[in-house]
Amino acid sequence: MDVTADTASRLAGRRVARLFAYRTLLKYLVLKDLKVRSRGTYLGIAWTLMNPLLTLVMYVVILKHVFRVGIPNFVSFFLVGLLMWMFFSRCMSKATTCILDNEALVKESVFPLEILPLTVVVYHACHHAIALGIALPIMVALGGAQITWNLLWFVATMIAFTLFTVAVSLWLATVGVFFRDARDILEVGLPVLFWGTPIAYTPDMAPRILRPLLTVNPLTSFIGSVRAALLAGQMPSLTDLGWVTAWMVVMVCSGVWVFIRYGPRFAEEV
Amino acid sequence: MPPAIECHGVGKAFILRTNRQRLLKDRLLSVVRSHLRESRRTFWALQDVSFTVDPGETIGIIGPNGAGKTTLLRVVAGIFQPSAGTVRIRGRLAPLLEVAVGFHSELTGRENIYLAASLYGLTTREIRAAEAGIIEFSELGEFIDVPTKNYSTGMRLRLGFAIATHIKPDIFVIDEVFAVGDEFFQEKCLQILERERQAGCACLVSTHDLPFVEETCTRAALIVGGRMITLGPPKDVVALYRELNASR
Repeated sequence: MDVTADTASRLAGRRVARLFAYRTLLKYLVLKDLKVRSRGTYLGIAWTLMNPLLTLVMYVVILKHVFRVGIPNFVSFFLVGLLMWMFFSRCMSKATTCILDNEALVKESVFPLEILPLTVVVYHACHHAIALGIALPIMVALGGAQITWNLLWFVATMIAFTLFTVAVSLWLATVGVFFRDARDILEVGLPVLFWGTPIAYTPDMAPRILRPLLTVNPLTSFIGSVRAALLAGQMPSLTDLGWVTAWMVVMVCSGVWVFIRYGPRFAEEV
Repeated sequence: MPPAIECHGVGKAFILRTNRQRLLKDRLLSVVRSHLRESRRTFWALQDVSFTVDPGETIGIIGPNGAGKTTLLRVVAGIFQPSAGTVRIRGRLAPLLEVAVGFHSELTGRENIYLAASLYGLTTREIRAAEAGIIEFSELGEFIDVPTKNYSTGMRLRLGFAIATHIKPDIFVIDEVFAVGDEFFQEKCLQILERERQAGCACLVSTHDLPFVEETCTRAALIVGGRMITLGPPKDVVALYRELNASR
């Protein structure tokens, strides 16, 4: 028993050390994506900011002025959820094909394959950070965001959210190798998940029968915690924090497990 | 000195599937519709391969197409998991199975140096130290700051090989890559390989270039049908291979 525990921890340590040794590869893969994305387009990185901006304007006009949703500070309220959603959904669709998109790398060279889903998340986290950097001052100016010590909860939740996204990406990268229609299924499922997440509404606006679904949706608690810390200047509710922690731990453990279990087969499956 | 590569009874099985179910939709449908169910057959691409490579040795692997040469290299490099037996590697291994792997055509040659070299596990500092040598060896001159999409095949090959030879590995695993370059460049590559070998690098090279095997390799192995028929002095192994081809 002791022996197996010892070898398991040694194996885990070796894997982490190997990943760390390849940190430079992660850096240059992310830089490659950033450069390729911005080169040859006139506005460069601004394009990725145009999309949330236009979506924001559309939703605010329709929800606030057509449907007359009565949420105070609706712009800030919606913007927080929208940015988190865009980060998460873009990572999901990219992660599903990240192994197949890099077939040559997987088949012809040797490196820790988890670098590929990590590249997806880090690349989108860079965009997300820029978008947040622009959005936060706007939210403060609009009177939506509160500057208090509870912003630390915002930072903590964002870190947990990123780890959660990494774990989901590990899962989807694996599934995407074995099922070629995973991307198509995901593209159909994403709009359902968008409306099944309280992004443009609050959980208590939903009818009572649907609320259990919202509660188990991990995005609900992540967005709920961030809104509490950032918009209300309060500590997130213990229920939300509990769900956030549980989802993060479960997904990280299972995501790492599934990737270690099936990763060695990727080269012969792509 | 312990061997750099140690293979014991290595086998690699692939599962050949007819009706391969690549789609989740089909996988679910096959539960109710039996004609969609896939049938599987195991195919052993490699069987019971045992050999060692010492530091300072160049082993040439020859054999007909489809004999399992590339599969063996992939198993040794750690890209494929062996289905049977064990592979043990001592030192930093650099696979050179495809030239210019990791290159992105939109990036310049210089940017691709950093990307491709980091794929071998080098840090920025190590790459910066090797950069000048790589550019000189590649003979690209001012073209190094041009996007590689404008390069010819030969230019990409030269840059790819320059990177691979400048990362100072302990073990090289090479799959018939310098066959593409011109004679002068091939000669230069062989000189580098020879220099690395004398410095203690172990090389495993798969090739169809029999004179190269006879002149450069310290030992040669013949693989036919996934089995290593013989491993020994290059001249004998090449002679056996020629005999085998003549009787085909």
